[in-house]
Amino acid sequence: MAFGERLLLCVGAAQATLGRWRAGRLVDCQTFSDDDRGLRRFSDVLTAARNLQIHALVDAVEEDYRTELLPHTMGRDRAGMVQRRLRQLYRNSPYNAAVLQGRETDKRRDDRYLFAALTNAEVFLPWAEAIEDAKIPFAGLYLLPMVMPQLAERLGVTSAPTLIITATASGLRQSFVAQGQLRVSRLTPLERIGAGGPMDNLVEEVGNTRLYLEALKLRSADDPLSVTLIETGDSMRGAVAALERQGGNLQCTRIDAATLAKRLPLSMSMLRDTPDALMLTLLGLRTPSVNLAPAPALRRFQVRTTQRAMYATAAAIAATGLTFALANVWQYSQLVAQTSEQRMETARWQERYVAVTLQFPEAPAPLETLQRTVEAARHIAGQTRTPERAFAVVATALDAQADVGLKKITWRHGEPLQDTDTPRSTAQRGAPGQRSAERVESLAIEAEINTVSGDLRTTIASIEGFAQRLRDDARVQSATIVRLPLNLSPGSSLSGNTQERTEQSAGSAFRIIVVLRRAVA
Amino acid sequence: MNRWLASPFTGPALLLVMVSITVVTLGWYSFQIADRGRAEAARQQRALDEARARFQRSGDERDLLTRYAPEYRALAGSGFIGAEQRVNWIDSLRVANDATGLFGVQYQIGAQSPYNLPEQPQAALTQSPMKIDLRLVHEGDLMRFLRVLARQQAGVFTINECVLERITPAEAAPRPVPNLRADCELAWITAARPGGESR
Repeated sequence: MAFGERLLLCVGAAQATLGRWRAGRLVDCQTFSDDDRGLRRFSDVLTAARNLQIHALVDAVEEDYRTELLPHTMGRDRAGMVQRRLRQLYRNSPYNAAVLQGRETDKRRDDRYLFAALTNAEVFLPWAEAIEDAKIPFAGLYLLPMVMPQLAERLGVTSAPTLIITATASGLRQSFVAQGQLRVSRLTPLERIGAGGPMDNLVEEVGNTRLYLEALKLRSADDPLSVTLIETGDSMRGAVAALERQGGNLQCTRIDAATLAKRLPLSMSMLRDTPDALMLTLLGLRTPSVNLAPAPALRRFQVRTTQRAMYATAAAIAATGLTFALANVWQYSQLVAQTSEQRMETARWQERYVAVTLQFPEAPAPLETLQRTVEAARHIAGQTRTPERAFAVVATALDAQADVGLKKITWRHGEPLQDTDTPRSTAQRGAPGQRSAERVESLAIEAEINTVSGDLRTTIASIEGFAQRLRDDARVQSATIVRLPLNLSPGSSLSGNTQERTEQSAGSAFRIIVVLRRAVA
Repeated sequence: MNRWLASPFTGPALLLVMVSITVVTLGWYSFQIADRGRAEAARQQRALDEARARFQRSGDERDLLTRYAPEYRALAGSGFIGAEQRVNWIDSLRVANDATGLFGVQYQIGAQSPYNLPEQPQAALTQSPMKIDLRLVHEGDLMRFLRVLARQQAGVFTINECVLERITPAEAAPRPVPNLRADCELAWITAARPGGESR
């Protein structure tokens, strides 16, 4: 079974034509008579093609078309209203349908529907039963005129309302197409056509159709009428001239088999041998939107369609997944090759590095350690200080002031000494761990004034003079007297005995904290 | 259950589910494989970049080695690198005392602890605090003593604090007597040897 292959059936009052649509064209047309023998043959053919779906056209007199206006509605309301109207119109036939053709332009803007039905179900019933018995998915039932708009489109006669006349297996078919839509269709059955063929009745039937169109107000008597004659054989030769002799603004165009064969995927021989081949081809090219088949008849087709959609979805998922997986695998293989190349390249660079380092002097330690350790040692050496500079500062000041007697010097390199400084642990002083820029040299000088005057003012003046000498030294940043023989601070109490000499009661000891400037390297 | 099995959509639905599961599994697995490949390729690229950069830096390495190795060896020879050389420190105290003609040195070495050098936070340094107590004739003796101690190359040390205090000399004696007492606190600093050996 090729993709898109399906069966196409055209049922008339006396016979049915079954064709097979394959690769975009009609093939294998067979005709079956409307009797037991024909139905048996039909069943046999269907049984052999059980995997295919079937679409059917009915070409019968018992058809009905009505164009009606209904109030504009949407959704369920619209469906319910249309179904009710269908039941009212076609109570006795299950084969009916309605299609929305547009909206009116007046104030109410009603919806315009085409109601269509096969009013005599018996025409199609034997064939429907054969299809059901063969368990073939039945895709749809359409009235033959439904394919006429497509024919008009293919022939390029859509610009003006056209009456398309065709000779089918059932008789003479006249379909009025306006604005690309079917408005009216009439079939003159074979039994009403005289022995002379359709040509004998054509002029009369076209005249009747004109009257019918006028009665339906689809055209007025003065409007020009375009007639397109579809001629698959020689039966209507001379019809154009005969029709135009009737007058009445009638323009007639004849389309012969050669033109049809050019415009449609159809051979001239098939057109000649099978009258229904043209309609079946149009059905194969495009399925009409008005499907008369009742829902139960379509169930097998819907099941098959759903199944196929699910299979197609599964196939699409599988294809997508497989493509994704293959893309990943392909990418992985590319990456493996790339990694292998990178690995070899890395090894080459490493070999070159090793070759170069073989010429290096022997390293006592890894380079990082080497650098880090030496830099650390340099930092430590750079920040190491001795008390020598501090002692020199004190010696200079003492040389200039002989009345100062030194008792104790505390030198520190790290956090500066304070007045209240007491011995603390190394960690508290913060010597290690401080940045070299934060470490300063400081001194605490504890001394006394060796004076004979016993005058407190003189003693304090000497201490302040000594502190000033220290401050005057360029190496000193600050020199602060933190303790005097007497506490002269206004914030503290002071007591004593004037009968005693001041140096006896208070002494002449003092304490100065000196902070040195950083030594210039 | 039977109704479900009899449904015309059971077969296609099962197929759809199985295909979906298989495809998701296959896709996930293949993505993981590809992802592993990407990670390995990225890792290998980094290794390649590093090897290339290392080769290009080899000239700098040679310069650094030439610059630092002799000094490193000298530091190792002076006892700065590796385990503490307490015996050497004590010996150097004795030598310095003898060389400066002092009256003996009392020492006390504390427990080793980490030494944090902010300028070189990566350096694995330790310190051992040492307190020394000296008697001096005059303050210049202290400086001479410290200079001789440094010259011994027994290790690297810093001086954190010194206290110089006048003491009452003994009665007149035929030989020099100490007039000052010096209490100093040093920190002997050592660096760990590569490989982590420590004694």
